[in-house]
Amino acid sequence: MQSIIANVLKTPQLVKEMSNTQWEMCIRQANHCHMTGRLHYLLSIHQLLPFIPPRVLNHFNSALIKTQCQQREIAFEINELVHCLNEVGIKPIFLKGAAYVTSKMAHQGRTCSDIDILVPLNQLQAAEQQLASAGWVGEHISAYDAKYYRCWMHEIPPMIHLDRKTVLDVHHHIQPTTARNTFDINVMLVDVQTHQLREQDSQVLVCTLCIPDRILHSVCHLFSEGVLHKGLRDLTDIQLMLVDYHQIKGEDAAALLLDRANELSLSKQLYLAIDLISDLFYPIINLDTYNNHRRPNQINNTLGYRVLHWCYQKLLVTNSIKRPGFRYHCGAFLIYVRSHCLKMPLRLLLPHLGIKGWHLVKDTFRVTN
Amino acid sequence: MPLANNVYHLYSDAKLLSELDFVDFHLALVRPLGLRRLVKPQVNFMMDRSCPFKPLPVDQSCAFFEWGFNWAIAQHAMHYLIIHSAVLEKNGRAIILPGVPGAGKSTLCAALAHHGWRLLSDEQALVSIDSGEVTPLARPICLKNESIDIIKDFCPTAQFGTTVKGTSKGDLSHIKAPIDAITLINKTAIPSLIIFPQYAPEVEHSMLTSITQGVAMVELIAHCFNYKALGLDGFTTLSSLVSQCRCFGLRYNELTDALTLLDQLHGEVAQCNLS
Repeated sequence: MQSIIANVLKTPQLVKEMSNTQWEMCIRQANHCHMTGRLHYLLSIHQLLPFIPPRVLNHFNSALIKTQCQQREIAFEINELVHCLNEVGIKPIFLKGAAYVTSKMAHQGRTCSDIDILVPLNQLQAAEQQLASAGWVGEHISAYDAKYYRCWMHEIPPMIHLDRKTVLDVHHHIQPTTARNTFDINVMLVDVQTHQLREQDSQVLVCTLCIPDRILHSVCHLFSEGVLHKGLRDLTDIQLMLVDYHQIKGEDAAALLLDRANELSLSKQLYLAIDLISDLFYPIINLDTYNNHRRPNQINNTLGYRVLHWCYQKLLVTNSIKRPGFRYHCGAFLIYVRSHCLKMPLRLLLPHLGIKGWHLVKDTFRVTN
Repeated sequence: MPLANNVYHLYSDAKLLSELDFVDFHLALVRPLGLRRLVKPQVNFMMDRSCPFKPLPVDQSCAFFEWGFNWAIAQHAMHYLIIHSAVLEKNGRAIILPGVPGAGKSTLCAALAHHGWRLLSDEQALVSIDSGEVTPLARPICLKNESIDIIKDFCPTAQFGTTVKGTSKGDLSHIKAPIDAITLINKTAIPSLIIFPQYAPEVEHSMLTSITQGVAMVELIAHCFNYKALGLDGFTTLSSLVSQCRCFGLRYNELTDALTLLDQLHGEVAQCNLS
């Protein structure tokens, strides 16, 4: 069954006629997929806030307070991290939520619980040592998991701040080392953008990826996740960034973004995101330019692309509160398996799953003994 | 089903919503599948499909439901300043009783609720950011250990739910919110007294000690669930709450005594405000 939140994202005007019961289901779905604050923002740009009944508005207000608090805390941590790493000559590049808060783009009504930074691989060790001296420690994970991160992943095991309990992911690439079709991260590193975090604090410069790279990172992240718990929110992030990018670059935006995607071998993913945004959301801007003559025909005609498109569409619009049906589970399974295959070639994945399975069995026995 | 019976017993005066009304939360207590159903069965608290706590033994369901309900309010009513405290009202003026666990807040709350005061809440004061008024919840009062028998003696009309033994907080039982609390559930109240109660068996007579507003403010911050989340709104709401109230510490060893003191104080505050 199609979720109410999906219907509202496609046709926001529906909220004018929604019954209490429909609002109730909408809020439950929004809370479940971390969309309550974002939905409030999207309704606000369509001037639909006056149609929200007072009891429903309480839930939106409550969610907004939570997201505002998280964003204040993220801004505080960004400031701390910049100072901390600048001391040893490292300029961290903030990714995802932290980047949206820094750039004031796609941050509206967004929940952000942890922080992601990117540092060049040759500075990774120095960054880790400096962070440790500032109270960031590795979360407790098994020796095998730690080795897995170090050998195969594009990030080191998550760090957590001793006092404030903030979680920090330190990346050296935006795709796993073992991923197929990966690109040279230096292409992104040379084009970073700097921002002032706060007006009164002009000497603190915070780095993020440039706008097209932020969009492509978000796209790349969305389609490499095995579980789409926050998928709908991530897709609205991409939509909001596209809107801003088109406003800044005007008619050139689509061509610039497609060129960049081509350079990084991410065009297939970008087209998939554009297709999903056009299918699922109310068109804030016209995305038809992406489908003009430049679009290679073979992309959306392959069986693989169609299956993928179907899976994502199914997963993103299904009512996640009710027990989902067989087709949903099929889609979820395919995406889960695909995400693992993307991260690792089978010759690495199969031994990995074997070892994880063995650890699971061992731990079960340890508990029962 | 002891849980369903208990919920029905404790909430039987509450108004049932119709199918067409908006419902804030969908809560459920669900027994997980698996072999544990046979030995030491457990129960999960769920809000829609999220499961925020570790499971508890199934015979603690009645307590788990109330705790989970409190959690759901604290998580989704962030637009109020939420203070961990009891709130009661008489003649339009509310008294706020914040207290660390074991301070005797709920015992005092149950006694007041059955002696002329209207219960707004036993656990959470929902203070409006715009008006500073407290919104009632009128839910059951949670009593622990010795308090259960004390209130059975002191308030013979109080209606008790199932007693749950051996929880992390000891034995506990809930009493139904009095009928006037439920009929007036839409009537907010303006706070004029903040009392920090402390059960003190060693004192001879109950006694009140005046506290400065600054000290009260700092104490209250520690009792708020979402002071930090509200940012500046949290500070302004709490500081205007404290500045409109008189603040005291109350050490008591006997309920009759304590109630007389609080009634007197309430009368004085009313007099002051009149003149």
